[in-house]
Amino acid sequence: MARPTRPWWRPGPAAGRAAPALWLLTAAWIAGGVALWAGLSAKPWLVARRPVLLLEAFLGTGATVPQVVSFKQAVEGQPWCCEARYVDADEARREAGQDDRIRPLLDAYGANPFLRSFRVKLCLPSMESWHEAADWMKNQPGIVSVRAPSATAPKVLEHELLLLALIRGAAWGLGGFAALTALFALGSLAGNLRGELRVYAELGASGPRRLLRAVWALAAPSALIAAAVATSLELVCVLGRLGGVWTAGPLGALPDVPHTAGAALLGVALGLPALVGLFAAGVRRP
Amino acid sequence: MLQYLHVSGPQGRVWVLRAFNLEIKPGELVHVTGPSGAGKSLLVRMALGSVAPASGTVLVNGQNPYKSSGAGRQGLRRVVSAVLDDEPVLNLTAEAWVALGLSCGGRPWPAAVTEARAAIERAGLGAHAGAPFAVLSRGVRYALALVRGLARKPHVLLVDWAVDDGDAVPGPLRAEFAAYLAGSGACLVTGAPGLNAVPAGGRVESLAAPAEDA
Repeated sequence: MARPTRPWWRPGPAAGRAAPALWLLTAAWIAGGVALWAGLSAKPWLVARRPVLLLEAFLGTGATVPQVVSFKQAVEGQPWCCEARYVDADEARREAGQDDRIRPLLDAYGANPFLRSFRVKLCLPSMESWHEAADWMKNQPGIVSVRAPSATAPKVLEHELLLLALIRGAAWGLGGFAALTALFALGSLAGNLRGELRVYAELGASGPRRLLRAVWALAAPSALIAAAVATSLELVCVLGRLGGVWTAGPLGALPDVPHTAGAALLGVALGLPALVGLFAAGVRRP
Repeated sequence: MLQYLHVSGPQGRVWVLRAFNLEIKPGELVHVTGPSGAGKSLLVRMALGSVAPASGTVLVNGQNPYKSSGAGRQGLRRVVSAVLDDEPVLNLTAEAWVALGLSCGGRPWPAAVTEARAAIERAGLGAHAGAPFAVLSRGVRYALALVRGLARKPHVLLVDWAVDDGDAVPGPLRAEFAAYLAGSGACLVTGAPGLNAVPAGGRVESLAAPAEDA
């Protein structure tokens, strides 16, 4: 005859009665997973959608070759610099001459009025510090002026902040709803467990043993559901990208679910039942 | 071993057990009879420490189970076995259900399973050992509850289970029950003597009908 399973190891209280609470818990963890996804990846997603910002540092006519080389090395060593391209005066003139309105003026002028310059592409996360970058370049030897996107950058950042606040607000709301729903579902499961814990207490089971049973019966299904939700969200992202489902269109820039979101969801899915189990097993006198 | 000293207790709006006194000594069997709602089951719950008397004291081995600390109450519950009609039916096999009683009493799980299996076999209920406890008849569940109660080797056995199918209790289990009573075990049974396969004999205490005022 097979050895009976340990009483704390078997499935939770009255599986039939527990089904609605488990479905509710599933909905709660899906909402929680989406909230964590949105909350944790909103900032990198918005940063990735920033327009490219170029700062142009103009070299004086007297700037020497060693100064030019030294500036290139120095600017490329800055954390906010993603790319620095040298543009000589002829190339600058050629570019300006592509505009039909300017070309006759240039031809009439004769000599090349353009300065040599460096076009520095700012790394996207460094947009907030474009002003500091411009000031730094202005102070370098050989640099006479810096043209910075003083009109576009603040506007982009302002919109980004607004969007970030909206996304994070929605994520907090959804997360709060998920936590309340999960608490309700876990409370319902704990209610089903009350009779069983009374039996344990009346048979003389120790507090830790009752706690183990309560936490197991609540945390095991909760953690299992949360792990399935976290895995599914990550799979949806990876498979969607691999299959080309959302490489184009507005979903193209959708970020992957960060691993921290899955870990956080699992932590909440273990912690909340443990807390409810603690109350179910010990706080009320059996 | 088990004492009720001037115990009274309300059950909702009804007042039961007015200054009730009872002492059960080792080796004694007491039947508590009375009309429905007189407080028979309440006496059992008080001895387990699940319900506190409104006034008076209940003592098990000289200690108040309700006022004891967590560890003290747990210790008292390990020397008291209850066969309860209203106990929630758990999703366990009969064997695991009996083993749970032993395991909660402090036995390691493998030893509890072995002991439970032996006790069920000894009682003549081996055919039911692997069956889910919930699907068994009330009579067999009552017999298994007695097996669990006796296997815990309690100082006090409390029986609060009205069962029509007393015949489901096999002869060997009846003999074991009688042997327990012949030893130093004390037993409180709710209901009249001769019911529920409990051996006849022992003292009978009658409870008064509940009064309306609280």
